[in-house]
Order: sequence, then structure tokens, then C-alpha cells
Amino acid sequence: MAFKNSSMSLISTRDHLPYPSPIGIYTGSGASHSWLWFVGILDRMGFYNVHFVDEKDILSNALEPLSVLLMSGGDTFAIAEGLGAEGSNKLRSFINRGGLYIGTCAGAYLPLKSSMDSLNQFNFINVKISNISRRLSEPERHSFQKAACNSYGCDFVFHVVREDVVLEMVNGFQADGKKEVIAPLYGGPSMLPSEDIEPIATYKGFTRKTKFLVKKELAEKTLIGNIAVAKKSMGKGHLYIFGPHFEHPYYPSCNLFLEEIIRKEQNGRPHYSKKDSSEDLQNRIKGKALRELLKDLKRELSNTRIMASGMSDFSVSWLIGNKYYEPEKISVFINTVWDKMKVLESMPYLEVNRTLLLQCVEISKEITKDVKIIKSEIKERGDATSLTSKLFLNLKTLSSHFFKLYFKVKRDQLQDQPLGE
Amino acid sequence: MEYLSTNKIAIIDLATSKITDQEVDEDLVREKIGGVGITTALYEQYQSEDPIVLGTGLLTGTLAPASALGMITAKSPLTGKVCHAPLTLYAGLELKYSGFDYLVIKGSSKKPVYLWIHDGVADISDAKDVWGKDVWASTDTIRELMGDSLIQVLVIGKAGESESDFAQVCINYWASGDRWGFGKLFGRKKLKLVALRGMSLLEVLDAEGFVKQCKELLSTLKAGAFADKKGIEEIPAAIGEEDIQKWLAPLVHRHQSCFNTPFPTNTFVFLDEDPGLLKESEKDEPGFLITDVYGLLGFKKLGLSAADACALLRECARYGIDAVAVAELSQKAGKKKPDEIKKSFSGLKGTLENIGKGRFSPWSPPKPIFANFGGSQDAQWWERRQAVAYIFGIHPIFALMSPELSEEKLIELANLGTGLGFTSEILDKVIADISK
Repeated sequence: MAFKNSSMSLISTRDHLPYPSPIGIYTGSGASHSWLWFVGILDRMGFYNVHFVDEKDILSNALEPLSVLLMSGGDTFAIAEGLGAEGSNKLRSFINRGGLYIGTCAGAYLPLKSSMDSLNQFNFINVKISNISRRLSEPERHSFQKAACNSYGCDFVFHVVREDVVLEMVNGFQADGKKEVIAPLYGGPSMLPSEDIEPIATYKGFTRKTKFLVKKELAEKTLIGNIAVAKKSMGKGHLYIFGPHFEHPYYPSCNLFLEEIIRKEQNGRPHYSKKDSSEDLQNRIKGKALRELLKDLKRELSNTRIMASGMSDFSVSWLIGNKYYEPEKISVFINTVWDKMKVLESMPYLEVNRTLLLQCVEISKEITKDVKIIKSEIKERGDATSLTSKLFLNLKTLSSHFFKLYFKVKRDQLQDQPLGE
Repeated sequence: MEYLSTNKIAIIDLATSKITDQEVDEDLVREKIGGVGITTALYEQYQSEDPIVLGTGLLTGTLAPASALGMITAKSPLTGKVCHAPLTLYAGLELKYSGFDYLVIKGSSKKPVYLWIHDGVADISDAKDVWGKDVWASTDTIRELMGDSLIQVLVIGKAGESESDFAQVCINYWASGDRWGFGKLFGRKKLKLVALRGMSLLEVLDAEGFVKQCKELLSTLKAGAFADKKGIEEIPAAIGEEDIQKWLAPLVHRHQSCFNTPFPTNTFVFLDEDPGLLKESEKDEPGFLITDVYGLLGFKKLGLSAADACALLRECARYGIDAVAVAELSQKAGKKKPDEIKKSFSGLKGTLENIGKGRFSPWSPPKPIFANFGGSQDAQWWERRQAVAYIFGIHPIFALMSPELSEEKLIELANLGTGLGFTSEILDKVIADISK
């Protein structure tokens, strides 16, 4: 009987598979490296219907098929400028018609109310932040100016700690079944209470791993009791905004909370998609030719990661837009791709988009070349800035191309499995 | 092969530029354990194609004390026998982490080439940027080309390029334990160097048990006979040669261990700077790392000052020629002046008396060092002790200082790491097979 049932379902739904709804990860202007952490979470969750979108994609209606948009850390100003008024409208429509927006750090600042140019087009949430200089006394302002901060018109947004903070889950929310959770804070907002948002977690304290950028008393005054995570409903959709990086891979309880939000959204929106056969079959590559091309990519990734491995010792950082990038971020991009590359290599039957893979190989060659020049310039002159914007853009492009390819392979695998397995 | 292994062997054909990867067969490991057990088997498999086999021991690159050893197995141009040369410093470690347990290099290239082995990728590249350069310049060039100063380089100098019988495969800038003329084989194959780097990970079956055992063993070892000693200059007196400590002392700057080896078998001497200099030197490598005690002793026996002897060792390393052979043949020819000796490198010929008689490099002294192993410690004992070191990947000189690092303990570690059930009977058989 069981055999009969499974055979029936195999036949009847073969061409209409119950995919999870499509999820978008923003990788465009201003996105730094933390979106890679979302990749890890979705992969672990088995959500392979993942799409990587930049500002051009958003302007070209790439949000329409998506049910979730993940906007991670980086440079909020650059994200806002990249999207502009039209991008803001697309984002607003996406949420209003039922989309889920999850923003962490820079992605959390973006929809907050602001009077600044570009940012003022994203006033989706009426909430004020506590880590802005206008809330400081003159001596505090002077003292905070020496700490990590970003210019914000006449004011500046400042950061009081880095690394671990203790959060208290409120309003009945729990993370991994717990009412208290530790999360990493790298410049994300601390929000003041507002009727426009439902608080999910507040800043409660610090740990031994907390790095104080100002005196502890000032850090407490800025953070403790204020809102770290909040939710807002807008139209048929929701925004979840996270000051700390809940997507950071070393914080499984935080990851689980994110997973639950995404799963809840997915369950509410079953999405049936026709078997993914849109891709030009002539442009697929497999067998020996594919293995050779993968080896070419592996060669370049290895060359880069070997070169980059010693660069974390260099005490340099590069300001790209409003965001500082350290050399170890090169390794973060390359090693994330490297780890998934090994997964692809281990698959016995593999077929991928040839053009996309070729692009990955070409970009990775360019990256190897640039990292070598940058490393040599740092050694000779103590710094290297001219190539770094290009390098990090290429690292983002390589990663998003590669993961596009990777998730397609994962989806293909699911399609090729008989249902019921 | 899942544990303590990268599970890869590269078969590199220099004649066709074709590289194929093979998995490390677990049955082969069960039968041959690793290190020279497997390099010998691979040599035999490809012997009609004049192979040079590079390999690592089963424990190489792990937390096992002194797990620094890699090896070259090939037919020695000097003895005509299949012999093994040690790869110490960080070369053995880096070979394993480059993603291959073993490399079989067969055939000969028509033009000079080098191998770049990294993260499980083996590349054959044109050696036009390094061919003709000495060992030091070649190492500098390749590290600059690849953008990383941690790359380990197995490299020949002009001696190897000109196929001298006494050409040595050097490690980075320094002399190695290649006393078999393997540098000549590199030169004959037009293989200038093998560059190694990787960031692989090794899986350990019982990680907790393995780490615990390694820590206990290290703790026992540290209380051993070598505890209050350091440096290459301590070794001659301990093996019945003349005491060179006072002679060398004015030049000694620091001592350097090979990977994870509790005793520093290498001594760095300052030649171009004051050895007592506290500030960082402005010269690149203002001296020489002495890695071969017999080369040093050979030049001392010619009556050279410590500074002249060390400077000559440096010249040998740059040229990529075995200092022991140079010293012995200079003695025979009555050459005692450094300049005169240096001029003899090119076209050096002659028959050596002090040549290795067994399979393992006489770079390791022929008797216990500092320690008492009990029982007979004859040539047969030495050959077995070296075999054990070369099978498991243990520093072969340190193996002569550390009875605590017993065969039983090494088998136990191998079993914790792999779960393959090695026994002393299997080890006996491997040793018997490689001694045939």
C-alpha cells in the first residue's frame, strides 16, 4: 500500500515540485561580506531556492517572485544610494504585498526613519536610535568622536562595543527556547522604544568577550534596555530588523531564531513552481569538461587563499564608501566559496551552467592577480588602496555567481530525487 | 583513506605534462601503513618510468611529537639502490597539507619546469624564471611569484641543473638530508623545484584520545635525555665525534626546531652580523641555518675556522651541492682554502668513502644520541629505528634521541588516528618489505 501511494505521488507531482518560496539575498552596492553567513544558514535549512540580487536586479523587478529578502551588513548609505527612490518603492511594494524583509546591521538601519539624503527615501519604520551623537552631552560627544563612528550629517552614528552582547528576548519571543541569548554586535543600531515597532529583544548586558570601544558606563547608557531586535508589520508583509548579526555562524541560537522566522513565512506561503527548465540546455556543462573547469576555479581560489592567508597580520584597513575593510575579509569570501566548492566536487553527477562557471574562473584569476599586487604594495609601502574597491567588488561577484550555481545544483538534485525519499 | 590522510596521490608525468589524481587505497594503508612503506610500493609500481616519489608518514603533520618528516624515495645515482632522503623543517608538513599524501614524478620534461602543489591541485609550470638561479634566489623568486613566504620549496641549484653526482635537493635555503644525489635526478628530469603549500585539514578518528595520547607522550619526552640540550652543536660529542661546541659558540645566534619536534636539531649562525645582536638585523638571512652535522664536521676536519666552515656550508647550499661530499673530496684533493674549495663545486668528481650503505640517509647519525635505548644498538638497530621514523613520519634524528617514542606508542597513535588496527606484526612486515 505504501509503495502504491509513493508511486502515485511520484507520477502526479513530478513536474510541479513544492519548492520553498524563493528567497533573495542582497549582494549589491554597500553589501559587505556578512551576506555570506545567510548563505550558510539557508544551505543548512535545505532552502535552495535562493537568488542573489543587486540594486539593478531590484530595479528590474527581481523582488516580485521573492517571498523573503535578506539584507545583511555593510554600508547603509551606499545601499540607499544604490537603490534610490525607485528601489525604495520596489522594496515597499514587496513588503506591502506580503514579503518578508530581514535586515541585520546596515540592513537594519536602512528602513529606519532618517532625514539624510538617500536614506530619507526608506522611512518605513518610525523609530529613533540611541547610538547617535545628538543624544550625547558635549563631553560625551567629544569622547565618542574618538570611538568608531560614521558621519551622519551634523551628527554621527557611534558604536560603543564590538563582539558579544547579551540580549533579553521579550514579548514572548524566544531564541532556541531561551529567553536570553548572546549575539555579536558590529555596529548595528540600538533602538529606542516606539509605537511603530514590536520589540523582540533588548540589550541586557555584556560578556567577557565584549570589546568596549568607550568606557563601560557610556556603553551601558547607550545600549542597556534599548531595543536590539524588532518587528514591524507593513501592508501584508513584515520587517524584522536586527542590530546584532543573528546570521553569524558562531551563534547557533541566533541562527535558529532566524530560521524559525523564515520557516514560518515559508509555511504560510506554499509555493509551487514548475520544474526549473528555463536554462538553455546547450549551455550546460558536465563530465570531464566540467571537472577540468572546476579544477581551474579551485586552482585560482587556492592561489588567492594562500596569498591572503598571511595578510591578516597586516595592520591595514581600507575605507570603501563608508565602510572599513580589513585584509582578512578577503579570506572570508574565498574560504566560504572554497568550502562549498568541496561539496560540489564530491557530487558524482554534476551539471552546471557553463557561462556562469567560466565567469567564476575568469573573475577568480583577476582576484588572484589583484591580491598579489595588493600584498606586494602593502609590504613595500605599508598600504594599498587603489585596487581594493575593485577587489572586493570582484569577490562579491565571484561569490554570488558561485552560489547561484551552487544552489541551482542543489535544486536540481532535489528534483531528481523521487518524492517520499 | 579517511583519516590522517588527504586521500590523494598525484601521478605527475613530466614527459606529457599530464597529471592524474588517485585516491589513497585504505587496503594499501592497512598493508603498508604509510611513509616509506607506501613510497616504496609506488616506486615499484612506476619503476620503469624512473620515478621520484615524494611522500609523508602516517602521522606527519599531526600533533604526534616530532611528526615533521616527509621523504623522497628514488634510485640513488650514487649507490644505484632505491633510497630514502628525509624532508624536514616544514617541508613534510606542507606536503601533507598541500592536499597530497604522495607525489609520483615520472618521465622527463624537455624544458625546465617546476611543480606547484597547493590545496589538492598539482600544476606543472615553466621554470624560465628560476632555471639558472641558485637555491636561494630560486626560493625567493617562487615565493614572490606565488605571493606567500610560507611556501616550502624543494629545490636544486646549479649542481642539480648540471647533473652533478653530488647535487642535493635543498629545502628552501638550507641543506637537506639528501645524501643520495637526488638533486641530479631533479636536474635530469629538468625539474627545478617543487613548491608546496596548502591549508587542508586532517581528520582524526578518535580526536580526543589522539590529542590526549600526544600530550602525554610529549610530556614524557620533555623529561628525556635531551631535556637540557639544544642545537646541532650538541650532537657530535654525543655520538663520539669531536666536541665542536666551543668552536661554534661565538657564531651561534639561535636554535630552530623542525615542525612539532621537541629538540631543535638546527642551529642558526650569524656570519655577517654580531651573533649577540639584539635588534632585528637589516640583512636578509645574515648567516646560515646549519641542518647537517656531517657537513659541518667535514669542514672542521679540513682545519677551517667556524666562520669559514659555516660560510662554505652556505655556499654549498646556494649551489645545491652536498657539503659532506665536498668536504671529503676536498680532503682527498688536499684543498683547504675556502675559495679553492668553492671553485671546485663546478665539475666536482670522485668516489666517496663515507657513503650511505643502507636505504636511509646517513644524514642521521648511526647511533643513539644522548639517550639509552637498551640492548644492542648496531647498524641493524639503526636501520629499523630509521624505518620506523620514515614509516610514521617522525623526525629521524629525533627518533635517535627518544626511546620514549617507541614503536608501540607510534602504533597506538596510528590506531587512535585511523582505527585500522595496526600491529607490531604488520610493522615488522612493512620493514621487511622495504628492506628487500
